[in-house]
Amino acid sequence: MYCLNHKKLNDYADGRLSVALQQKMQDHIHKCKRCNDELAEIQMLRMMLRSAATPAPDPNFWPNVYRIARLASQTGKHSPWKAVQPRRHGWSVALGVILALGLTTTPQTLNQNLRMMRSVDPHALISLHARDRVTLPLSDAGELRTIYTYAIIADWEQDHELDIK
Amino acid sequence: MGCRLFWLLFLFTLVSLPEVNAAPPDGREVLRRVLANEHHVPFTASQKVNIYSSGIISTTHTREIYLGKNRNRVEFISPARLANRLVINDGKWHLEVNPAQKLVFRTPQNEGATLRKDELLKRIEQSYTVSVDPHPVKLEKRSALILRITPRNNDRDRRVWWVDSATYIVLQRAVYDPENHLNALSNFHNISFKLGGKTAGVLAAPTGKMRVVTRKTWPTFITCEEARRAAPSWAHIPRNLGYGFQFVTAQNVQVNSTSSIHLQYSDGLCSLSLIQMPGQVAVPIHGKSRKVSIFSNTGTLQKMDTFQVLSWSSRNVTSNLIADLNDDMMLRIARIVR
Repeated sequence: MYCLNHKKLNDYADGRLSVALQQKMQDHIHKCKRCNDELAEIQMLRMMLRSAATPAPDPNFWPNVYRIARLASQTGKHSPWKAVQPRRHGWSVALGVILALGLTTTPQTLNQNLRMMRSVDPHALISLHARDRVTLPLSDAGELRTIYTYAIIADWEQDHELDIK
Repeated sequence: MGCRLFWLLFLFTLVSLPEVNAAPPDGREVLRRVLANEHHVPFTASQKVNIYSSGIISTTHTREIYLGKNRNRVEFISPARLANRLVINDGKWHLEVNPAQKLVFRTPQNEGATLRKDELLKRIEQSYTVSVDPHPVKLEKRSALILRITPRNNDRDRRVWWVDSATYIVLQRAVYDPENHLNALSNFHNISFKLGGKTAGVLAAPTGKMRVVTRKTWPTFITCEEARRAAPSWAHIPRNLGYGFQFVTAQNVQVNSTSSIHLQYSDGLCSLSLIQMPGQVAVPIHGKSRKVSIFSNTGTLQKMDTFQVLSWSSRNVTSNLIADLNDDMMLRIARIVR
């Protein structure tokens, strides 16, 4: 079950809301963990899409297209699908696999997969900063030790246990 | 009779004059003595740390033993979430002990010899004025000098330290932001400089079946030139970030399994981390946040505890700036880093 503001998160991430609503949403996001997490996923997904390279077509794609076009122009009656007929089974299998993946991938697993993409928890950044800062001369050791300990606990809770090296 | 009384009074005045008029050492000298004595004077104490963030006060109590030569033991008493955790520096290892999970993280102890003391004092004086109040005060039944460390441009935190007149250990620290709000207050109480036989075995990690995880350590580069030679090609290592923040150390690290370079800069008191990663790396929002512009790039500035985390991507490198500075300073420094 999603929070009522969930539907507007995309618009919020795009900055499409009115100033008043944007502010209202921001206040809500700070209080609501679900929306906060959801917004983080949206931002991560967008960042991934922006950074992802356009996939190259199969090396045989363009030669096949030319071959079909050539055959069609030579015979005038030739069905272009005949040329790709031997590959029909392959396409069917691929389509089946995609459908099966689509059916078995729940939003939760998608979120888990997204989390496994390159993302860094800010608590990990804070703990790294505080841990090294406490070793510097004249540091506010008591304060830093406390912040470091809280940050490392939060980082563990985000399933990043043991991976700050 | 009257003559004798006069001479008695005169002698008494002479004897007591140096006590009354003994001026405390100046700010630089007090700071120098604090620097010389920290981690070297043995004592035991309890410490209370109050952190004020967004109107919420979080209080932590610890019991601490300092044995000198960078050896110490800190035990968390409260809050319940942290209770019984230990931090031990035994001279060789830095241990973080979590008895509830029967887990010990250990890291070879860093001596922290990253900045020469004279260089550190020079940096502090460039960014702050340091002064001592003329009269000591009583704190924890001890005489304390009040040291005021004030930023020259009111662009970063101001500090007030209560420094023990005899040992130059800082008994109490208050940190105020540029708007003069108290950010943190930490103070030692029940302090004792007579350890006697209380020290035997205090640096030993708890026995029992503990899982010991040794953190991988990476070389630390203490000059900008060394760091540039050893850094990956995508890293950008400025010598300084302006506003008195100069290079301290660089280290190649892994953060959440992402290869990164951690650069530390300091004005002598306030340090700032610049953590860079290749490509675009998402940093989810956990605190109060807002979008910001760093020239043509969009970044996110979020406040967590007393720290701010500013993250942005530029030229296929993601940069994260972490410091306890206000929004304006964070952005000004980020624009220097780009």
